[in-house]
Amino acid sequence: MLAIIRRHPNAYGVSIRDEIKARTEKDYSFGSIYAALERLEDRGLIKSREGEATAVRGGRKKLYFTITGSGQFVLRASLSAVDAMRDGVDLEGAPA
Amino acid sequence: LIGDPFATFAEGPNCAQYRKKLDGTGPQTREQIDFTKSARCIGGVLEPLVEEYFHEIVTFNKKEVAQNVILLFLYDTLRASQGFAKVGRSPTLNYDRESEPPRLAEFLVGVFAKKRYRVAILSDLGEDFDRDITAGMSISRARWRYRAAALRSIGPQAYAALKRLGFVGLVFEAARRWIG
Repeated sequence: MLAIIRRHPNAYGVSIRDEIKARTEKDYSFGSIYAALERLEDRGLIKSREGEATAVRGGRKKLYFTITGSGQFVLRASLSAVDAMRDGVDLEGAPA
Repeated sequence: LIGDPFATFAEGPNCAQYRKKLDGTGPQTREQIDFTKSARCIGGVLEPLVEEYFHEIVTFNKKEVAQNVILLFLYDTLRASQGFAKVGRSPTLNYDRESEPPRLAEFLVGVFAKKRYRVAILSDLGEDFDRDITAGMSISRARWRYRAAALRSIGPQAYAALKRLGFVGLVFEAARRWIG
C-alpha cells in the first residue's frame, strides 16, 4: 500500500514491483504482487482502473491501483500500531 | 485519428516521403509499408508516428526482429485506439515467432491468474520482456528471463487459485481452458 501511495498516480504492476525492489532490495514476482493486490482490493482497501494503451507497452493497457479512504485509514492505524510497538525497544540489546 | 489509422496515415506527409524513398515503386497501403519494409520504416516513419499519437519516445533495438515486435504492437495499438479488433499480426509481416514471449509460459500464467488480473500480469511480464530487448539483451536471453519470471509468478497465483476454487475446481478450470 505504501508503494501504491509512493507511485501515485502511476502505480501499476511494474512500478509497484520496482518501488518495492528499490526500497527493500527484494524482488517479488508479479504473481506475489498481484496476489497481495487481490486481497487488498477484495477488502476494499485499494481500487483498480484500466489505463490507456501505450506504445512502449506494446499497446497493452496498464491496470492502475489507488488507495481508498478506508485503505488510508487502515494503513494509518497499522503504521501507528507498529510505531507504538517499536517505541522504546532497543533492538541492539535484544536477546538473540 | 478518424477511421482506419492506416488509411489516415497513408495520406499523411510521412507516408509520401517514404514512398519517394522507395522510388515510387513502394506499396500503396500503410500495412504493406510497415511490414514489408519495416527496417527502413523505423527512422522516417515510425518514430514521428509514435511521438504524434503517444507522446512518448521509444528507443528501438537495432535488430530487425525487435523492430518487428514494436511495429506489431504499434499496429495493434493504433487499431485498438480506433475500436478495431486486435489482429495479432499482419499477413504481410515478416514476423519472427522467436521474438515473442514464450507461449507456454504465457499460457501457464494465464491458466492460474485470476481473470481480473490476467491481462495485467501478462502485460507486466511483457513490459519487462520488451524492456530487456530494447536494452540490448538477446531475444533468447530475454525469453529465458520471461520464463523464469512467469514460473515465479505461477506459484502465488496457483496458491490463490487453489484457495479460491479448491483442488477439483482448479483441475476443472485448467481443463476447461485447455479445451477452450
